[in-house]
Amino acid sequence: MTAQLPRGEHEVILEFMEQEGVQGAMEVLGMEVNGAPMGMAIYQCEYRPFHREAMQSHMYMGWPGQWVIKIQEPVNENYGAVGFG
Amino acid sequence: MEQWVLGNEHTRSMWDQHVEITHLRGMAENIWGADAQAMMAEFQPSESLLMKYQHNIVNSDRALRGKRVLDMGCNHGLYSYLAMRHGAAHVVGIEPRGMFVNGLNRFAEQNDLPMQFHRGYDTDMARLLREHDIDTVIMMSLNDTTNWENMMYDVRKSDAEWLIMQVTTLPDTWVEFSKEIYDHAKTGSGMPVGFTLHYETFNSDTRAGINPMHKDTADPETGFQHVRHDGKYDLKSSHVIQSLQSRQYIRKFIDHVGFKVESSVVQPSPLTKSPSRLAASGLYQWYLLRNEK
Repeated sequence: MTAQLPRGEHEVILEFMEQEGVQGAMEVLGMEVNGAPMGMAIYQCEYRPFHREAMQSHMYMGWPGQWVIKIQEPVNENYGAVGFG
Repeated sequence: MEQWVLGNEHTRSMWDQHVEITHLRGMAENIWGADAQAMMAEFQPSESLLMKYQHNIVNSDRALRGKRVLDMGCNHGLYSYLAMRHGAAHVVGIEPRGMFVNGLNRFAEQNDLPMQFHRGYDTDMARLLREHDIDTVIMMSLNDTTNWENMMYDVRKSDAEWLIMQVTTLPDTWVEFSKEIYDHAKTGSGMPVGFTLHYETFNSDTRAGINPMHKDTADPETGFQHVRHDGKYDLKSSHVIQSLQSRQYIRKFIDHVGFKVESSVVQPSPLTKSPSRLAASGLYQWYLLRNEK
């Protein structure tokens, strides 16, 4: 999945198709911004199960829910190790 | 030496005179792929980048013009490129991560630029100095994760004439020595001349490839450690011990090895908006050293 983002803050959201029922699990393994692996910044994320408390820095989603991360564009001015710094 | 002022117009003017944006776009695309086009569409050098450019490159003109330059730990190769644009006859960049080395070699070849890049480590310094007949060495931000003291010895013993160093140094006032330390010194152990602080941390970026514990198993492209049996990245296990030295210790070590200090500048003020923790804390320091025989 790729997206072009205008300048400013954005939320990237991965969401299960349905709120109920068994749908398997999902794990986020990595994320690249402008072609560069974003490294530890990926843990600035939040897992929001639909029927449970939200959890910070969780990459594994065993219950249906959303995985949300905020991205600041331009990323090369906001993330170390991305682009020319 | 000219004092650095934030937003220094002279530095930006020098940047505009020496940098071709089409080159930067080519570098980015070769390293990070087509996705980097968006990043480079409106690229402007940040304050942090201009500050490093001023102190590593602009202020080191005499150590670069006409010289054969070795850029150890060249990362994305920007400073290799800048050294070349400031008159270096040839630049050799050393970096463990394939995504940088391969992309930069493609870029240099496409543009017929006198630069070449190799995969390598800090432990290769002595051999590289000999093999490439190096005049000037650039060592930027190597003192937190590599054995920089050994590299300093290697440079001192070589025929290289110049060493451009960017280090991160801690103010000497951050740690006060106790009475016990001075009492111990009186026993004949020698006077303390500074300190090193060791930090246990995670890799905040893709530099796992330089972790001595894992460099043999790191992903050859990105440098991330492979610590899981399935070959997938496990960032949370990417522990490193980083070390930062006090300003007095680094100066003592430079004198001890025998370099002549041509100039030394401590970062004048923190860049609080910088994504770099070091720049935001104002911990950068630059040395231009001459290797006199």
